[in-house]
Amino acid sequence: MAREEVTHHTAPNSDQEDEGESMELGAQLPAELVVADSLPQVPSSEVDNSLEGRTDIATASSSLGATSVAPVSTVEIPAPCDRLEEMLPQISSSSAPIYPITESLTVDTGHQCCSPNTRRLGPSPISSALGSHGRRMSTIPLSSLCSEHPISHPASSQENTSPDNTLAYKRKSEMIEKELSSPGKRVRGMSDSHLNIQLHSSPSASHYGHFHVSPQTPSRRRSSCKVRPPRNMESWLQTFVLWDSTEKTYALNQLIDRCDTAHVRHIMAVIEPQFQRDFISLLPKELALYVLSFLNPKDLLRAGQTCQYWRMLAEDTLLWKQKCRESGADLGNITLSELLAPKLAVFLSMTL
Amino acid sequence: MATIAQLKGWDSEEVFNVDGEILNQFSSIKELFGNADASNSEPLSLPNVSAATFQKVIEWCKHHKDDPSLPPLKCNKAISEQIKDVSDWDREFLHVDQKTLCELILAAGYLGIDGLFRLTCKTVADMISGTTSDENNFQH
Repeated sequence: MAREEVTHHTAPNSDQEDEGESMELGAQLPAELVVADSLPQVPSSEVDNSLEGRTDIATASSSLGATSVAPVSTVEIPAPCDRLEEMLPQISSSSAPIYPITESLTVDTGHQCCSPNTRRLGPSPISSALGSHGRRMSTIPLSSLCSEHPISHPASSQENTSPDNTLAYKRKSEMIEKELSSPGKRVRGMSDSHLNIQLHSSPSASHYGHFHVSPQTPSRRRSSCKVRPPRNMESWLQTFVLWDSTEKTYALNQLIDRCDTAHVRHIMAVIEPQFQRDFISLLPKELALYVLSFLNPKDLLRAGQTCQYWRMLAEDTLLWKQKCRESGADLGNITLSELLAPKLAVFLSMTL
Repeated sequence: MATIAQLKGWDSEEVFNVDGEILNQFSSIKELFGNADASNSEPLSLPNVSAATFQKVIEWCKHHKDDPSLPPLKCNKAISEQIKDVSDWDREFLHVDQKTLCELILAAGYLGIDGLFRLTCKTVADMISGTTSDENNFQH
């Protein structure tokens, strides 16, 4: 019931956002407070609300085909909510940094709107619906889920009318929603960039936290699936182990061919974190900048085109100052404007 | 050399006895121990380093314990130029999956092992350099 109200409050509001930026903040803040007031503030119902929203998103994303696999696999459930883990074993089995749910929601929206299926359905209802979830989550006190997150603190969002963090976060989510609701601006790898924005906004301690979580994942995955092993599985596995490498490859191909989408998705969620690591986003910012400082200017520009978070790092002023110094020594008489010309060209091509 | 520190990763109870030569390379925590004999005291748990990673770190430190201390990096010269020579042993050492490499960077940064830190960062940078943005997208 509460959710219905929220959708009504926020959906027209997201339409207004498209009309003008000037009213964005003014219209936004009171609406947020109304939403927060209309919701029950009983602590025990907080988790239930979040559970409800979580399952909605999960079902929505699973109904949207394989394109939404990646964001699901990046969702990690914070330690305290065991119930969530039971309800969503597939999601809980992934290994990704611990981030509040609000952040994973924006990632989901990004991917769904990028997929061609949803574009045919029309992006605005979906993005506004999911967006309203996301915004609702950001106003509901989720202190049990993400206690370290400053925005989701009930006291800060109600007593202070405009704390800096809340405002900045809203601005950010506004921006994301606006991007989502305007189809023309869609870019490749947008969901990645959203993820990375959120990565940046999360406290740096969780960067370290990620590495605490990941090695435990397999055991957690196994413990969470309570299914008894099928009868002949052991001999089946033994047969598999005895095959040589090419036979194993062939057998795996055949096995995957016989899997349905859900199982392939599960395999992907299990395997993906093992191989594909976004170093720059996973490392703390200062370490990421240090890694980037090894690149030459050309590669740095290229890296900046990968996604928004990389771009933000790759455009770091001190980094370029250092690059200028290096190049000044190496190239002798090259001027600063000549050095920055490619950067300017990239910048112009992106903005035009 | 006598054990002067007992350390363990955050994820297991396995205790690593670290002698002075290796501990000296951990510039961020060596001051904790001083010269006291810590072999009887409680092992210190490293919050950001797993046991498997710490094993690798110690392996690297043992191999490089006789290296001269690294010169500070000059700001007017490309870093990649200054750390050019990667020995075959190091290359073999870093022939690991990305997860391990990532944890090695964190561990080296946390423990303050300058040589390993530069080496691992350079390895990652080499992975990034020369790729297009599309290829980088694959690493997400």
